[in-house]
Amino acid sequence: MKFNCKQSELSKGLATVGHAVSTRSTLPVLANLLLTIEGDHLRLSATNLEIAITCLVPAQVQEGGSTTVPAKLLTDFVNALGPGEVELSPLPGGIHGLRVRGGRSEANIRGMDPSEFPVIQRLDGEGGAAILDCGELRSMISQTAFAAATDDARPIFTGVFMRVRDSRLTFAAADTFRLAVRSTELPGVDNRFGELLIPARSLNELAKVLPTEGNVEMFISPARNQAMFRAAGVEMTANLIEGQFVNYEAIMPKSHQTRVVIPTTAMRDAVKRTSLFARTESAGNIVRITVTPGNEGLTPGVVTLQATNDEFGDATSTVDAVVDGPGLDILFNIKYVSDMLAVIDAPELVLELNTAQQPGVLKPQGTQTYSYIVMPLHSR
Amino acid sequence: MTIRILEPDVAAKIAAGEVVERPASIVKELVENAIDAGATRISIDLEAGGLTALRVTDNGGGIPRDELPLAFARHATSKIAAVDDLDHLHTLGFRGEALASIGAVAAVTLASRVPTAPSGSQITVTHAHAGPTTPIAMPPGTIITVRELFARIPARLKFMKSAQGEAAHCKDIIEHCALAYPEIAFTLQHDGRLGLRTSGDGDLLHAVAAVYDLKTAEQMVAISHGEPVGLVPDAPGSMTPIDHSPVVRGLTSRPAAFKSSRNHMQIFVNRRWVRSTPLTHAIEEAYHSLLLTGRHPISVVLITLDPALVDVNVHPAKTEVKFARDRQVYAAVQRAVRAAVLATTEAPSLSPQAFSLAMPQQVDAPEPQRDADAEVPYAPPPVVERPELAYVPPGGLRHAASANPAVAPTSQSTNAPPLWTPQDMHQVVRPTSPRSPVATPPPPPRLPALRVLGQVSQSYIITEGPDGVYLIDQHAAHERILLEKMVAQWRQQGVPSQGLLEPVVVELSPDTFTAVEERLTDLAAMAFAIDIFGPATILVRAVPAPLAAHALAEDLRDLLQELVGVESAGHGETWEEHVLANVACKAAIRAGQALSPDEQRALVRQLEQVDARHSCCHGRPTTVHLSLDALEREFGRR
Repeated sequence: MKFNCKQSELSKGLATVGHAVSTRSTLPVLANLLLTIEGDHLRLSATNLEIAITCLVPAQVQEGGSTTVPAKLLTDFVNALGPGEVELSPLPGGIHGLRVRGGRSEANIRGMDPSEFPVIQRLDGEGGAAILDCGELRSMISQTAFAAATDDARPIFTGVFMRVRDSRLTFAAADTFRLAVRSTELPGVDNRFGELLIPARSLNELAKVLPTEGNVEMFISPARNQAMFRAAGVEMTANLIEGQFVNYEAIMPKSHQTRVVIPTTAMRDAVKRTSLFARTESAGNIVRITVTPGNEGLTPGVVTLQATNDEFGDATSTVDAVVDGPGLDILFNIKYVSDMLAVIDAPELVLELNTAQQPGVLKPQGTQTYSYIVMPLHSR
Repeated sequence: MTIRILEPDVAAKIAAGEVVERPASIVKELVENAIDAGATRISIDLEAGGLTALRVTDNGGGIPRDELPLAFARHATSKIAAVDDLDHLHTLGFRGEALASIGAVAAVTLASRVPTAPSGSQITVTHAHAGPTTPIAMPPGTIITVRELFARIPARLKFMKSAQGEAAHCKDIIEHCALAYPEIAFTLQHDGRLGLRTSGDGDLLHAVAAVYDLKTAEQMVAISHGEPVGLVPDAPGSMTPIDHSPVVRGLTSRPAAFKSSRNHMQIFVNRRWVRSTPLTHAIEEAYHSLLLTGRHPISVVLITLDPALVDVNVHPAKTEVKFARDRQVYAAVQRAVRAAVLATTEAPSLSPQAFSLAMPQQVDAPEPQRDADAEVPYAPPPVVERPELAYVPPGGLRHAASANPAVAPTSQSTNAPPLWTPQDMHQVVRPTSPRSPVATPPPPPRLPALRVLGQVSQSYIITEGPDGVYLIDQHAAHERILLEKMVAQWRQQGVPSQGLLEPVVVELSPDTFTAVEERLTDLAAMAFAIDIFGPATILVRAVPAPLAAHALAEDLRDLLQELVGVESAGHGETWEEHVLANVACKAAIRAGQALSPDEQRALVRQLEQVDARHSCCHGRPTTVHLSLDALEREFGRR
């Protein structure tokens, strides 16, 4: 293989596929990138066997072929080259690898036999495709993936549940203490797409490599064990998690006694201040949220956040709020609250509560597309 | 083949095989008889491991002349008369099989004299054939000589080990008896050589010294648990427990002393040596986080409880027991041993020769001072402790100390350097925490006041105490301090309970399930919310907040098993330590970090306050002691 391309484009492509390079693996070839000439493009591929990312870089091709080289070395070398043309050619003597030439620098990078590289399945729309705006998908990922569990002990909780039903796409993620549910209109997609469980980790990588605008297509493999996302110039394939997700709809509270509307920024700041006192091992991340209704329009309702650390002291923050229903005193893990506040941008936040023992619901004001359910703590 | 009743002698030999397996079994039966007869002096002589001849001599009550022939009859015993007697057995033997069985497989000469009789009598039974009873001159007591063991049972003889091997088995038996009956003087001789001799002065420590050695004995601390209601009386016959709760006494080794096998945890139930895996485990659990894996304590644990609550009639050799309330017994053992171990003040010593004088001095020296302190109300920590950025010459701090009347030495002797006045250490506020409701060990004696000398290799702090040099591993010490502080904080504020989105269904083994069911309130107090869901199935609705990461069915099952397990009953502190161990390890200062003298002093002061100060969460030692004795020996002054 022999081709020329722009340093900036190659560098960008390498950065994209770098998200799928395995840093620690017993399979040495996984630390490599697969470079293949495809028409007038260079196709870069990387996989850690959990996800695979491929990326197309425009190139002036003189000779086709393919090879694999260490991902980190190639990426770092190309980044270190100044802007301009880069020429890539085979190593002399039939050795696997690449000669990279840019400006007055040249490097010979040894690689491995490309046939050792795992085959990356290429999917098409057979199993049903869904087309979504990149920005919307990224937002859905950021509002749900954080709620998934990070330890592999509970595989189904490490995933984001995806479902297409009645022209709506829904994402749901939970660990055993909280649940985030986000949905969006998805006209024109058939129900064949169905349900699937995709690792939250893979979705987070996807969010990083998606282009800022344009559409993304989603496919499911016929065996329903892989999903593929295709956007302009980049594709990602991810393995799916087997298993049945919890019946999250049953967990979502159907009604509430107290409804609080709080300015998001004020709440975020109050949480940040009190969390300084809650976030230690001994204080156990606990925040006490006290909801006090207003008085016939004379005084506003307030929400008070309080955290106590036996060793260092305590902090209280009060935020004005519109309180509908009786007052309440409830304990939450402050991390669960702040995680959610970090991913919404609506100006106002709604908190729906029943009793101090029942789950609380947080959602952005004025939308029905996002709900976040948190189990409270109770002290004895 | 026709079925027929066996000839009596065949049946006797089969039955005898159960009781008499090897010379050691005979020694056990005969020594136990001697103990039951109230002997205060028992000697055992073996020839060729007891295979050639074996003699047990005691100075007990003896057997009257007319009862001698009866002694060899099967199921003939003076120890019980009716079935009900089995419920309140105070004697070691009761089955009435021993002599009959021995008589069936060997030539036994039984000579005995009751103290009131003018002379003794003797009878010989050779392979189940009794001879005539003849008079003999002898002191009061009983002498039993066994010869020709298994001479007519070649099958059994084939399986005998070497004379040395058999003698070792006999020695084990005598060791057990010596530990259980420190008031009896035991002498064991093998082929004329002394194997074991105990003084019989009633002091268990002396018995341990005789069975093991002096060094081991000096590493032992006393176990005491339960009401001391005079349950271990001098005469074995008069043991009358009043309460139903088990009383645990004995000796156990400091964490510094250990063996690499589990065989040195000797357990006695009502003075009967028993083999019990759960009890052994309970002892080991008591050393949780104090001993590294592969190291095992040396313990002599004497459990006394109402004979009605123990069933010893499980096996002819009587080394297995059944308890009516096993959980209670295991918990009592664990609690008692744990309390004893935590109460030790001794750091692992660098030089084993130096044990002897170090131990008593160490425990006693700060004692009067501490009592005096108890009267003094809390005063703010002395000024000396305040770190200063400006350089203070080594002598400077000392002057400051003596200049300040609050810290000026008042009651201690003049030769104590001012910097480690006991006031310094005892006025440091101790985060007192309500210990778990079950275990309320006496406040453990603290580390002696230590004067910091400096830091070595930026990892170890060298301090001087009343008896030599103490080397402290700064990381391990800090880790232990943080761990105890964090656990105390959790306890103080009460761990909140974190509800689960969906209850987790946990299937348990039947015994864990029963234990969980029994201890639901305890578990609720630990912040679990558990519903019984079905036979052997529970619903966990909430877990202690710090355990939120473990809210997985398998994790919960393991955790519950651990929490309610028989061995850990009443020992509710492990899960917190378990969860916090890694946090403490990460938060602790590292080895290789330079500490200012003030920081070093602060660390040592804090270490003096912790409960299990001698090891970090992973069981490595925090402190190593180099006693003055050891130093003097090293320099050839002694």
